[in-house]
Amino acid sequence: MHARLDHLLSRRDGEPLDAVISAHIEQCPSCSARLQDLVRCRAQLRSLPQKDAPESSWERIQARLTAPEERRSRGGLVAGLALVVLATVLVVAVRDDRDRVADTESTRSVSPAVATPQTPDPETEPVMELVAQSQELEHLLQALPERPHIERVSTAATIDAIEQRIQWLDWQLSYAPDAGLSEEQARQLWRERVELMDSLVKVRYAQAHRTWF
Amino acid sequence: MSQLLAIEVPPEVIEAARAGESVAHETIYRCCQRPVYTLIRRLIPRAAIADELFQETFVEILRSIRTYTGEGSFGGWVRAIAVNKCLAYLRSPWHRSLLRLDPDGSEPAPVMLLEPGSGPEAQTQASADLERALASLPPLTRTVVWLHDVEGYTHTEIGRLLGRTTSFSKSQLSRAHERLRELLDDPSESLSCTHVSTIC
Repeated sequence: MHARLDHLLSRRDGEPLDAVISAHIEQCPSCSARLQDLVRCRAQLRSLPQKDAPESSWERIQARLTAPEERRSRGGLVAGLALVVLATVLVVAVRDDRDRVADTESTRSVSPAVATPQTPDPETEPVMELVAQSQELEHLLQALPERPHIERVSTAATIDAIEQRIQWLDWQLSYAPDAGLSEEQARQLWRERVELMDSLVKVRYAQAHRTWF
Repeated sequence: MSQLLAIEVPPEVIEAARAGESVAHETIYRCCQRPVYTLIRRLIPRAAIADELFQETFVEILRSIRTYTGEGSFGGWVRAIAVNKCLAYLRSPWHRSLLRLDPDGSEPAPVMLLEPGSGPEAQTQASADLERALASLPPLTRTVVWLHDVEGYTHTEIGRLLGRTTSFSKSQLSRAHERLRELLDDPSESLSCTHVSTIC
């Protein structure tokens, strides 16, 4: 029986390896040859030719270094206003949340942004419950009007950032069986997904009702 | 070992760049462009995307150079920015939508024309074959093998960068070498054509 590839890689990289396996690699011509192949492959990877960047790259970088500076200075006020609007929306959402406690059923259809379940203990919350919360928020999101064709840059950036993070989480969760995630790790990922979905629903809800402001 | 870690930029140039001097910016660019571009192209073989990431990387390097404290090598700081840009791209919805088309990289890759200068006439056949085999690996596998075997990242560091475990990085490295061996040993995999991963 020969050494596994991961054993050979551990040996090549000087990582701790079982003494019996090490001795086998030393004595076995096949394993020794494969080990040498791995060493050679690494050396070849390191000696692959370097690549020069396209000639016009520096000019483009220079242009990007100066142009966005002007936009940023103009955009400062816009970003500040966007933050104020977002803060106001959150205050309204929290106020709605209090109202919902008094009359949950009646306000649920009016204010999807506040439909997130109460936060349980993050240490013990079952994963299935988080999955269910996530699905509920997905339904709320789908019930909202589509994003407008013209929207604020800051709002669009916020939504895109949240969606990117959610997709990154989905990617990790989709690989969970292969990656051998523990239940605790899966719970953390789902917890973060629920929080991000909640934020997304709130921002989208505010966007849909921004005529209030 | 990593070409980026071998970069030496004089401290006075870094100081001038912090002060916003464009000559210093260009000096840093000239010192670093080759290893940075090489790193990005190895992780993201598709030239158009790699070029965009390369520009973004340098814009960030030069804008945030004030945050470089001088602790650790300058090349290491530059490398971290370049790697993060590539990983952010690999996580992006755009790339992920392509990933869905080829979830495990097992689909036959399309034949693409070699760039001038990367053909067998410009380098040894062995290097050309290895370069193409590397480019045909799935993005995550390719990232792990390059960061580990060439850039010298540990499995723990790679796991942290990818939001995964150390053992995940190890298994990806094994997978990478297994696949590279298949590609390089078996002529039927036809490395004489340029097979490049469909997903970047």
